[in-house]
Amino acid sequence: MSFIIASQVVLWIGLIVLGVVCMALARQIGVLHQRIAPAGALTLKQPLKVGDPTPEMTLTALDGSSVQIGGARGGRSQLLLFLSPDCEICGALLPALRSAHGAERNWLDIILASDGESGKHAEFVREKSLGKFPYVLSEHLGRSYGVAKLPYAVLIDEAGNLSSTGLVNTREHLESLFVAKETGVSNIQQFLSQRGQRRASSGE
Amino acid sequence: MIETGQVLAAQLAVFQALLLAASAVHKASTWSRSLGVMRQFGGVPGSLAPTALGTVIASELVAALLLLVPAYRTAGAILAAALWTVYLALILRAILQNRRDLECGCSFGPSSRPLGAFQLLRNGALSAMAVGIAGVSTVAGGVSVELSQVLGGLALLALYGALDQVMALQPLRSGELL
Repeated sequence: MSFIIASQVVLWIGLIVLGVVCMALARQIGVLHQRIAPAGALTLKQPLKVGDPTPEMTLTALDGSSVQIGGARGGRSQLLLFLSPDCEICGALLPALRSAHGAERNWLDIILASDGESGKHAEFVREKSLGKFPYVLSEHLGRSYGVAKLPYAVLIDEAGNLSSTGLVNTREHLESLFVAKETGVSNIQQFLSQRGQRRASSGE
Repeated sequence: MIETGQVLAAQLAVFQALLLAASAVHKASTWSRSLGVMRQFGGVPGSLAPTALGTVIASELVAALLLLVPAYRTAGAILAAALWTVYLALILRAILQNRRDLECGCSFGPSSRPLGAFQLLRNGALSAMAVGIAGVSTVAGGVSVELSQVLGGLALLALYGALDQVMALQPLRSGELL
């Protein structure tokens, strides 16, 4: 009997320690979240500014369907992701793209864009199972948005205006475009600049 | 002979008492923040907020003390259930009014998570737990039983604190976890 009581006491104490350790770890994660600068897509120099109307285009996707890019599209926004089969970071970003496709499907259509020979891209679509995304090939489209490096994303709002844009290397960069649209901050540079001004004015 | 249900109820009573006491101390130590919560989340007019906050803190401390004394445990559990239910109703009201980003003061620190299903479930569970404690009779046990009750209550409080901290983290946008 005394053995059972003793073991029970030890188990309760073990559980208390475990709970305290979990609490400390979770708190540490929270502190880290607050301390690190937010990850955001880096906006490069480009012909269009945030808020500008985007050029309306109708392109033919790899599967033969017609895709309208830009302009008002019945209340839905559009994400253009410029990528290439040769770009390794683009491939690493695809799981994040699929998860964004599921999480943001109520308001967002995702379109993949590239240029070059269609055979290589069709093989890329098959290999990476990208059949559910319209995939267009157009050099003119890339030039219109000033795409110089990959993977590059452009978010067009429901009115057809440029909402946010930038170089997206990670899931956080990709999601920062959606957050930028929701908060009205166009890019990471603007966010950091505003935060610096707020801190300076509050004397932090 | 003490029954399993009675041991469990006693452990849960200690947990609720510690939680209510910690909550009262936290509210008192962050007085100005709690006043803001009273005004914005509780909907209490500014001039009445200090009195209302004092009443809430006192109610939580009284419920905690009553829960720790076996003879008054039922009364303490009923008072605790009433407090959790009021908090639950306020959270529900904020959600229905689409004011999910309000600071509800229901976490031991700043929270990045908007009000939602987690807070509703948590307060519902705490309220149901208090009702359950009130429905179980108290029986005096030996030192080992009382030690088990205190340790059990402390362990549950530590686990509650861990859950509180985890759920205060910013939710992931794509919802892969939690």
